[in-house]
Amino acid sequence: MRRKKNIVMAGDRQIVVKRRHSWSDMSCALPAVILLTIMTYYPLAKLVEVSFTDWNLLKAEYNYVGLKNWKWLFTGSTSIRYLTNTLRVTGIFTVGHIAIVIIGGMLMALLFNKMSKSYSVMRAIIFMPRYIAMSTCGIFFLLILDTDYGIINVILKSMGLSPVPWLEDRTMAMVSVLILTSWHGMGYGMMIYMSAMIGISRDYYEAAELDGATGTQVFRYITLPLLSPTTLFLLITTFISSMKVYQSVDTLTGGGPYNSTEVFVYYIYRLAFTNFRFDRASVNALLFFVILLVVTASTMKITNKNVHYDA
Amino acid sequence: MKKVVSLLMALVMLLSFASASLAEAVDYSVNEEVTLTYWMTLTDEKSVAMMQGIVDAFEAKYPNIKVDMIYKGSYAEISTALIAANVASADVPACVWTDTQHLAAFAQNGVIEDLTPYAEYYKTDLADYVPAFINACTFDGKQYAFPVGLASDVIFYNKDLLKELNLTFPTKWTEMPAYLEAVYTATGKPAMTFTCWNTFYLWPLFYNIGCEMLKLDENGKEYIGLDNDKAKALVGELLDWTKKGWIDWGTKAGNTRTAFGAKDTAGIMYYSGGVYTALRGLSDFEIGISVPVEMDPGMNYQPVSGSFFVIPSNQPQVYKNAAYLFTSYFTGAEHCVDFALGTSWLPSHLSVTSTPEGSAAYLAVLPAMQPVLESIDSFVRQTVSAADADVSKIMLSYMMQIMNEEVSLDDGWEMMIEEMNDILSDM
Repeated sequence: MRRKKNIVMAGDRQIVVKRRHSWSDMSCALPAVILLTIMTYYPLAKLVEVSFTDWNLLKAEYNYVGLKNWKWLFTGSTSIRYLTNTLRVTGIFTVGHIAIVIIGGMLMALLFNKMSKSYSVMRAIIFMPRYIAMSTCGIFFLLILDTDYGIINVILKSMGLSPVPWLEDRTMAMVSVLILTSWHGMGYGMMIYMSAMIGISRDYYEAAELDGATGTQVFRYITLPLLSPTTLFLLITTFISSMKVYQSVDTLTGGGPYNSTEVFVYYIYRLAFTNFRFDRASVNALLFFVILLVVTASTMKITNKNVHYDA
Repeated sequence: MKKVVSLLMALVMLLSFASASLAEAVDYSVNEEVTLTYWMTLTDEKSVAMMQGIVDAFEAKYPNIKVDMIYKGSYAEISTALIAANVASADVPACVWTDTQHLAAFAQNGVIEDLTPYAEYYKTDLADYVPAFINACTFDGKQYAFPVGLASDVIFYNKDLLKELNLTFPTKWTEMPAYLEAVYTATGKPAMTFTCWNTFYLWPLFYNIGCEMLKLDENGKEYIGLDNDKAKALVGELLDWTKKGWIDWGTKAGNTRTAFGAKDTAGIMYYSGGVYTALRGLSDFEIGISVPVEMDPGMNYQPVSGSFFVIPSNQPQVYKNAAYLFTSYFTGAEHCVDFALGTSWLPSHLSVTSTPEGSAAYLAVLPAMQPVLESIDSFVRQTVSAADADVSKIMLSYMMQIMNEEVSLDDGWEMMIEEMNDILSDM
């Protein structure tokens, strides 16, 4: 109302009022800007600064070393070896995790998409791991997956089968991390898909029923396309969270065996807090930031073309 | 003008002398009431009660100093917390109980205090400490820590099985193949499990052939001692034994000792105190203890490792003084036997280990430790290096990949040396 009144004013007074309004708008955003500056932009700027230093984290002082760390990152034989390995491991984990969360979440949503009390209880059970701290889940899974005393291997042995080296074998260690992380996150995918399914108009289904469409056809040509904004949302958020996975790896495998589960964030952590090479960790962290940014933006651009927002 | 300049120069000289003498005049006394924060890692009731007893005795002796014991998690968690406190210059503890992994890095970067002048001021009898123990606390010729709980690297074997097979545990490396084959042939199980979760357990193998993981050249510069054919040949020999099933490799302490207790292996490399702690109650057979076997002639040294007291630098002088009094008291000869008996670590003072009357009280309770105490002259410290943590991880990773045949010996060894050199090149 006030704005409307202001618009009809003419000349200098109108400009002054507009400016006053833009300042008041700005002041509303100020707390968020201050917080973002302190919590995000300043650390990012500091990270860029540290990447040109020899800071080892053990003392407050450091020297500027120019492009030395960047040169190490792109030309050092061991850095390239580790970089290639961590990118490969992170990629495998991310693809696996996204597939499980999206496909598993959708299947779960289809399975539990009934509004009765018993289904509510079952949904709550599926979603419950989300509320448990990942470190707690990690310790719990350590006990379950232990080669000698873990419940799974005890059962396998009692059935006369060979125990599985869940955490000692390269492939199985990655499978174990995926099981833990997906167990923790699949309920979330299910809930997001369920809320999206509820939002799809019943008219589409009724029309399809009148046309004699089969269940598979309804899912393929109605549900799936109309869930595409949700799938894009889950794809982006799960992609970012998968790329940043750390806790499940830290508690379950510590990046092992032989770096087979050493994801990028864990590698950065190891460089900074185990090797005390904060300088090298910072160049890796910046590279990781750029990779995340580029891949996320590309994914959004590519997948946006196939998203239907007309549900 | 000339006079003024001369006068000014003389004044500058005088002031610099005065400031130098002022800088040296550090007061090491504790003339005020101080409450020390002490970060430690033990949680079991028995050990905490034993430590509290020593703290109580200390507080009775020094009424102006109080000690707050705070459990701060594992050694790794303590190190991370100490680094954070040091950089933030906030909540720095007065003293910390930690392991040696980061001792050199902490010393090199001024995170922990050089205790040499304190030892001189308080006339601490450093000569009474077991030399390898006190040497493990030094870096660059300076004293940075006090030894608290230390152990050596020994081999535990199934004594009953060896009696049954009419075998004795080898004393020389050259006797090993025949011994391993005999046990394997008789039992169908590995005669020995080499432990590969800490380079402490690999150390005697390489040190005793002159190929310690990290060595110092004549200029004091570090280099990789494994970068030679002799070390590689030893790994080749171990790989051969692994392929034959004579030995296997343990990557987890819990599983390795369980396998030993369940007779799935006839011997393990372990820390000396393990016979009374980790292995207690796990086996129904008599456990024999052997010190590391002789590799090169006269070379059967055993490394020592464990936990140490350090004093962070970033705190007021009076707290450092009080912390020094506390740590030197805690690790003194007076409490040495009680502490060793309470924890099964080795006594740290020669007045205990090397005299019959001193060792009698210890051996009366822990008789199995006799061969360990008798071999105290073969104790040596591992190289204290800022690169130790990184280089150790690389070695463990490649050793296991080679033994699991995931990478060939040639390729694995070459990549391992390359990665280790990368760490050293930029320290």
